[in-house]
Amino acid sequence: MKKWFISAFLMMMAVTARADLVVEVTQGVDAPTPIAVVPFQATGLALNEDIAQIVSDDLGRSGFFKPMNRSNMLGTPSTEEQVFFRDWRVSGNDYMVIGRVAPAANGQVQASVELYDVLKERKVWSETVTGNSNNLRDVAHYISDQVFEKLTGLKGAFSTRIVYVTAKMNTPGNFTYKLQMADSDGARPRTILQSKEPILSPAWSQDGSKLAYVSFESSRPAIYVQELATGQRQKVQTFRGLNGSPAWSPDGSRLALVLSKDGNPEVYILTLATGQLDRVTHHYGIDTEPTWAPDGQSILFTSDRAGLPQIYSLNLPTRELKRLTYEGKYNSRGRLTQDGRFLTMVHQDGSGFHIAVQDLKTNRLDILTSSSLDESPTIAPNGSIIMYATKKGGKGVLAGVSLDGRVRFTMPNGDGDVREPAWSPYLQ
Amino acid sequence: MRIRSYILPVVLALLVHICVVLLLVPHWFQQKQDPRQTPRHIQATMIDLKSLATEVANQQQIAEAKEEAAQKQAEQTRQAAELEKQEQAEQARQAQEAERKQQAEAQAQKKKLEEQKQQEAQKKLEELKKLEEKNLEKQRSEEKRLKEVEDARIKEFDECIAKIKGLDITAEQKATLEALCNSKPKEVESAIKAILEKKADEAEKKKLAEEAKKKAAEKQKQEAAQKAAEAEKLKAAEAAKKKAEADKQRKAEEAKRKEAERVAAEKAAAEAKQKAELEKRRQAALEKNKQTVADFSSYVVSEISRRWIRPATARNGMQATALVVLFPSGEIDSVEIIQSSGDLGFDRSAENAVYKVGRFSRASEIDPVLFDRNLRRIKVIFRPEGLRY
Repeated sequence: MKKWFISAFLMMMAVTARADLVVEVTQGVDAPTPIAVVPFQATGLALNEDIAQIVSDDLGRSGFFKPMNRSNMLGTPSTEEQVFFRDWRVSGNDYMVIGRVAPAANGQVQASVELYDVLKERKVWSETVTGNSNNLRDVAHYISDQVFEKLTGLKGAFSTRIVYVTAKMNTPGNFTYKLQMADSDGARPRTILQSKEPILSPAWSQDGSKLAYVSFESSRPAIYVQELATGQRQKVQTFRGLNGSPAWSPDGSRLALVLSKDGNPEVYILTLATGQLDRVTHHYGIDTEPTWAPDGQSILFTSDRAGLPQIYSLNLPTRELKRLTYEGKYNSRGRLTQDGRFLTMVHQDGSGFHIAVQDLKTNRLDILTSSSLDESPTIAPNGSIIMYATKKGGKGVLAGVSLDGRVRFTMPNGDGDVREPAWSPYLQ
Repeated sequence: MRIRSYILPVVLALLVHICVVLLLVPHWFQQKQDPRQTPRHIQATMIDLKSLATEVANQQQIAEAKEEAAQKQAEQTRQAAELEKQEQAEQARQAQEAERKQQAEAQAQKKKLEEQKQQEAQKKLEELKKLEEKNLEKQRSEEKRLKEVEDARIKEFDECIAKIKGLDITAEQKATLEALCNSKPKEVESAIKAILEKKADEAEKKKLAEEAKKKAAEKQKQEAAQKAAEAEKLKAAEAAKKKAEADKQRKAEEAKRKEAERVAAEKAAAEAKQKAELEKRRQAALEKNKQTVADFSSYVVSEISRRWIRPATARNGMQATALVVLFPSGEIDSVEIIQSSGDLGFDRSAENAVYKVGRFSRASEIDPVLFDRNLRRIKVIFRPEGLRY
């Protein structure tokens, strides 16, 4: 009996003695996640857009995913029954997207899309999206947003818009400037404003309904606010001297701007409702290119008060000034990610002007681009991509780089030089 | 029965006699009888010497018995006293009877005499007077003679008693001799002689008996001593035997104990050796298992690291823990994020890294028990290092 108890006890001890093996993985491959977006099956429809391709490009451009080349696909399944996960796993994909497009009532189309986890062989997400033949790109971007969010946890920014300025030289000395708005992938550009005088510094209001920009159309720079839905615009500031670099406060009630009405460029805050102007910088140096911190409590701006352009932070309630950049001789045009952690800027080194990002937590600065004339960085609302203007073949183009610098891309060529991009917030 | 109990009857008898005497006194004074010679009564006790001898012998025999002698002697004393009293009472009774008869006869004679007196009163009155004087004289001489005889007898009795007095004899013999002095004084000498001889014989017998007894006692003592010696010897032999047996048993037990100790020591040594061997093997096995586990851990980390695609959202300091359960073949049973990093993409990348391995083939080469105990469930902590941010 005693032995039995001892045996039972030892067995219990053996059971309880079973321990999990604990291992720690710290290294990995820093690469995008492989995904296959299988061409959607379209029955009885001649579509003018390839939804699957748009989705694939969106995901690839985000820097988070590496879409599979269609030519390498072993098949094009459009339903779950047709999917052989082993094939897709063998071909190195972690996820796959399949879909079907079919006509719906009232001349609309229905896109049924399904996202699968190839490794677990499970469906992650599926939805049927209705659209019409004219907004298939919107359908595609919506699908991209959903896939992106389902797999990364971050809200997709593919359905957002960008605005930028193009300058087309008609004749020497004669240019046509256009303020244009396009999809986030540069597709479907449309002109917001056209002028023979330069247009500068377009800025989105936080709700995405208005744009502020600087126009020289009245012979001297003036700041305008334009309603995107109606096209109505309002000149909000036109002092003598420099009027530029408008930036919307997060709540949309104020504009930060640069005025030189007092002698040298200083940063002011304009309350739109009352027209009250509040000067927040007081220095004989140049203070320019203001941008709001996401919390609306401080303003970042470029100043050469230390001799060379560097980026500073001014706390508005306390008026406490803090220099943020120290590395390099030139750091300007700062923009913050929505989480307030990363500061993108134009950084000059020996090889020229590059897009760089600084981790405000560690103050580590990383140069993301290798081109030499990069300017005007703007960040996607989900912080995944930085878009900027650069020169390619002597022509100004828009380009993008992922925040970690792993993915770089150039936007489709527009008409003329492209400059001054501004990425919209999430649109309703 | 005690002497005190006879006091009352004796007192009563005396009172009766006194009363009778008192009743007769007036009569004696009223009528003066002629002096009449009454026969003299001698009080004596008949003694049978034979029986006495027998009795003495018996008493001697009884005296030999220490405890009974005294009792019997007391009894005999008591019986003698009783007999004496009875004889005294009988004598008294006979005296009374004789007295009564005498009275009756006197009355009858008186009557007759009265008649004769009436008839011959005058005639013989003178004659009677002369006769009476003559008788009186005769009676006086007789009384004198009797007195002399009595004195002689008393003297003889006293002398006899004096002889008896110094003798070392029993009270009973003394009483017998006194009685003999009373009855036959002349025979007392021979009786004393006989008693003394008898006593000497008895003393001799007693001495012999005592000697015999002593001898017997001695013999008995010797026998007892011999017996005791034998018993002692026997006892000693028994004790020696017992001791020998005890020694033998003790030695046997000692030997047995030593043997048991030796066996136990050998067993303990063997067990210790076996235990040490087992411990050594266990340590070796543990070491081997430890090495196996370490090797397998490195293998798992290597396999997963090669396949872990760290997402763009991964940041230094993030950490997710996946619980991986394996089949003995090394294939993945399940992967579960038991501690999230807070970043969906990061957690998915961790899960996928494990799933991409597909099968940890080395698991099938590991001892199933060790695998089941230590390697079946693996906690994989994903904690990126060396990232830009």
